[in-house]
Amino acid sequence: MKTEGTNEKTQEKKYSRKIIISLIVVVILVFSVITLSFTAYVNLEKKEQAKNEEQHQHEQSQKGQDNVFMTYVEDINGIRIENASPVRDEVGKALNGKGQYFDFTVSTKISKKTPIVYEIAAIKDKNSTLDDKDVKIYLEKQNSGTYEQVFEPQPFTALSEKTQVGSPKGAMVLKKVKKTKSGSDNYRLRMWISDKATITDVKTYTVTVNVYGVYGD
Amino acid sequence: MIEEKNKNIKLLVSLLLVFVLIFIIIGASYAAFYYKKEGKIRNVISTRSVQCTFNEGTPIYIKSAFPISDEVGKILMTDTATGYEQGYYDATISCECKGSCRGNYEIYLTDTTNKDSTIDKIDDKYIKTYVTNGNELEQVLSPVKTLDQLETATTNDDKVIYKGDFAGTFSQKIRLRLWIGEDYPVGEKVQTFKAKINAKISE
Amino acid sequence: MENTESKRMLLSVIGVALLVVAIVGISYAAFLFTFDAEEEHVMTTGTISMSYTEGLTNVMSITNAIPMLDEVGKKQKDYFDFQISSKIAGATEIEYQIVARNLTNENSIPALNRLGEDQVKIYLEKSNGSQYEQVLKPVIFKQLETNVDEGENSKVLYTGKFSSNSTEEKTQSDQFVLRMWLDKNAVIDQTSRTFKIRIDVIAKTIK
Repeated sequence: MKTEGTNEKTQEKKYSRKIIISLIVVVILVFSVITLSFTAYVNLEKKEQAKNEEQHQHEQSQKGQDNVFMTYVEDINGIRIENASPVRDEVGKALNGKGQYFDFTVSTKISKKTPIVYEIAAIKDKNSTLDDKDVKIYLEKQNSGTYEQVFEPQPFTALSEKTQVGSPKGAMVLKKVKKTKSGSDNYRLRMWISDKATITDVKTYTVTVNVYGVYGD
Repeated sequence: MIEEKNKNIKLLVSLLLVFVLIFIIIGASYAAFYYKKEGKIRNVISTRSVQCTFNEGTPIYIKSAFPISDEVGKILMTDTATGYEQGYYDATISCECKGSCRGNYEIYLTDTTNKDSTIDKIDDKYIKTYVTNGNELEQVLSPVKTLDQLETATTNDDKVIYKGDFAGTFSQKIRLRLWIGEDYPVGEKVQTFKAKINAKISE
Repeated sequence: MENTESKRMLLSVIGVALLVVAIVGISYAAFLFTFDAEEEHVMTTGTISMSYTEGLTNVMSITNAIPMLDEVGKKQKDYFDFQISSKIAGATEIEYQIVARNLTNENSIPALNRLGEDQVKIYLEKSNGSQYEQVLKPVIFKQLETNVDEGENSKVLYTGKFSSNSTEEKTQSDQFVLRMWLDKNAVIDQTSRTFKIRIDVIAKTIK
């Protein structure tokens, strides 16, 4: 009788141990999955400092790595217009000189057949002194080699609250895209002083472009 | 028997929990994908303000001009006894710049005499010009020259009275005098000269 | 032919497009102000003129003259009367000069038939409104003052003035009578001799 009891206890112990081991294995599994997800979340790319210019950094996407789902690469040169005068939209849309437009690329790698939704958001520098209504924002997207208008030139329109994709309150969503196939999207941003503006002083307007992405439905 | 059952239940529950956990994690991994990349490139547009003016005084008006010497011409004023009713003309050209601006300006004379073909025009070689800055000391900006000796303007055939460069806010006053040179042969016929003084400021 | 024309057309279009872009490029960055005046500057010359009896000229001459005394010469009926007028306005004072230019040494008068400047007398009178008064006493032509600005052959007969206080344009006039004769001391012979002068008026430059 006593042996039976001991046996039962040993068996229970063994059993409990098995459960614990199973649980540990599961925890390790879970931990690995979380780590993978986290890597995808952080998605840090290697950064290289541009040699002579402090304002921008040239970023390389880590291609070929399975954990990279999105990249946003900015052109080394942005918009830098000094002594700007009001111009008509026809003139602004055609600005093609050095420092008169800003090119950038958003690339997506669709895996697991889950689409990615991304938003391009313009962030206005708080030190900007020009009124929003005096500046026109204009975005083009490259399609089969030529750039096409994404929206009519318009002033900066701020979000009243953060979007689901992640564009913060106060930003201006330039474009929201749902990607079902992997690929790179090339964009061109322009800014100019509206021909309706009356300029009587030195004023500035600074905009940076952020990209936010999430899995889509 | 009951213990065995209990163990089995425990195992089942554990496995169930594990599956649920896995599903939750997998579900969470999907929700956990979030991309955010802040741009580093600053796109900047800055303005400036340039306001330019050209203020004119009373135009020159000489009803019956007779030849006078350069010494007399250079000090012509109004109501002079020599018949030069309004012997000089003052004008100020200026720009107010907020931000950077640099460029040049030209004040030039456009002959409007021949607009009326019936008028007998005074030959340019007899019309003397002289430009000072119009202040008390009357610093000379352009010495005595006949109209035909003046430089031609850059964009048209008009005659340059005075020109200059500027960088930033500036103001320049000019005083122009016109008279008939000593060598003019006064005769029986009335001759006339008419002109407008225009200005151009460019970058 | 059509190809060349098409190419030309294309080049023109490109040219215009480039120009448009260039203009766009310039107008975006550079400023240009032009100011067109409304007021006109006006200079009108005054005038001075000499007028005389229609049919006559301002050239005077004496030929085969007989020497005469000044008292006789001053009264001779052969004279040249003329008017000097000037259109002036504003607070003006202008001076004029009546000058005589010796035309005797022209080729039309042979040297043998010329009278010298030292043989002829000149006399000028000016009207004061009711009568004529002497303004240049009888003087040998050679002794007259020269207007250096006009040249050696410009002898000053008289310097006059017109003045105005009115802003309106007015014509003012002075009347003159000029006489010329062979001086009493001139030596003559059988040869026919002539002395010829032209009378002009010049506005004197204000210095």
